[in-house]
Amino acid sequence: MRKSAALLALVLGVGAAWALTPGDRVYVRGRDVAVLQSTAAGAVTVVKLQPGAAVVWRGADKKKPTWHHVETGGKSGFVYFANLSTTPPAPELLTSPQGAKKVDAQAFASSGAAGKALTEGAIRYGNQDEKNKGELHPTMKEAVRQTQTLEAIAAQRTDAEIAAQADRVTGGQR
Amino acid sequence: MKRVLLSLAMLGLLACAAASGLMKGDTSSIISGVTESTTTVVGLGQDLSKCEQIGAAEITFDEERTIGGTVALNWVQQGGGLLVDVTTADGAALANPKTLPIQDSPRNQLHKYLNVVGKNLAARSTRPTLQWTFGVLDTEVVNAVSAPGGYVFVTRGLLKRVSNEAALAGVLSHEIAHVTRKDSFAIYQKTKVDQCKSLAYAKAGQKEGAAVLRSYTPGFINQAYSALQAFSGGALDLNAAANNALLTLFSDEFVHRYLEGGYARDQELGADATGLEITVASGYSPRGFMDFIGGLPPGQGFFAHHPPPSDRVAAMKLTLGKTRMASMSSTAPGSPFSPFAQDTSSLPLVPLHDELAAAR
Repeated sequence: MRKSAALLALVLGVGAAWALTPGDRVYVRGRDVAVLQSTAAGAVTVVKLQPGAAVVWRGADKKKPTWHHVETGGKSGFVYFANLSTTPPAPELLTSPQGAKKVDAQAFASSGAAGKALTEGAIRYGNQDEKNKGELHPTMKEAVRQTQTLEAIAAQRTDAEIAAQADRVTGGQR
Repeated sequence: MKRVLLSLAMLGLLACAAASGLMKGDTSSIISGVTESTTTVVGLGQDLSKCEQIGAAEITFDEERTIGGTVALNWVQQGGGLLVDVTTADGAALANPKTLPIQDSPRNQLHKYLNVVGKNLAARSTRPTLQWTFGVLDTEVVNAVSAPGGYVFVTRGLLKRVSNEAALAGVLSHEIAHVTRKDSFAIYQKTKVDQCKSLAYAKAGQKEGAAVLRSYTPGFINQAYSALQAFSGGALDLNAAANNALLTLFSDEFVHRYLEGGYARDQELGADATGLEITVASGYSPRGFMDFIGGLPPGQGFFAHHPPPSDRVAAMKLTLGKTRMASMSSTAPGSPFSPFAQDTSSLPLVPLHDELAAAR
């Protein structure tokens, strides 16, 4: 049962003494987060943002306090509160010729490391003869093949499918 | 096919048996083979120092993904396999998951659904850009488990018990939280150092290396030791072919320790709290997960290592209440965006998709 409208009405925190002040920097926590032109149902998407994108916080909407007014790259609009955070997503530690280096979520997403499936080392681990001598079923080699199939199913899920799922859960309210 | 249900203790034993091909039963009979060129005391000291260096290095994502992959393979094997219809592709096709052909079967449809649900949740986590992978293990045991790098598994037995998507989302979010909180890292770091030192002691013919000598063949131990000797500092590349024996040493023992001890109580309760936040941030009622946990008999499957269900539910209720209070009146950083700032009683449980029926 969808109760999105009721949910919005029941949200608490209106006028609370938050630690943020207008003009503070906050961060996007979800993927493909829509910045909407207004808080109205079916409002136009001004821009979609990715995890870790910094935006300027202007405050919660007075009528619909789950929607917060933000500015980014000269554009302005509203973001659902659960898609924002006062801290950016955790950085990732990548191996480089110069040693390990920390990269933020956006750099990590575009590094190629993020899309890695079973690594060569893990495949080698599962396929080594010594790991396939027991009586367990599936064998480790079969486990490798099954996991690679699973990873393909996971990797082939599109942003549109995930967005549709988010809408299915929330009734399209964010 | 009905599979034999494995108790946790049995799974622990299987962790050892997973290395059965490498295992040896009689320590005394193999010491001579391994210690042919017994290291000197000075050499042992240098080896132990290298082990400390290996343990002190921060775990990079590359290492996390490699060790996570080996752990995932163990969960797949010990969980009775994945409920997927495998692709028959080979070679280069297998190396590219984005384009690998997938059979359009009910079992694979189930996994498509599970991955859409899981990825939507993971997008709200602190590590939204990992290549998250969600799978169903073909066993009746009621269980869920994760592996470093972004692998999350639930069992067919667990899917039979969830009555709505909010409960499933809660279970997946709990496992996502173990990965984002890096709960396994402390166990893994200690395992690396301990196994590395056991290897060095084994080569030096000392009793502290007996466990490694009992478990692996002389040839395997020599390979692992060669890799240790070649280590010259910095990050240890476990993905390299030359380091495969070390990877195996570390992974086998890590799996064994996890199965024996699981995570600490605080880590489980922390994963519950973080998982609940992810669940609610995605728009699900927290009631689904709390009802599911509350309905579990104590000590079932892997859940045997978790705190009692009643303790978990009580802790989650406390988290919900405290965070909501903080959101209403506090100056705590981040509170305006806490998903608990809303009245969560109005959030939906969301019905399960039809794809799940095939597996229940």
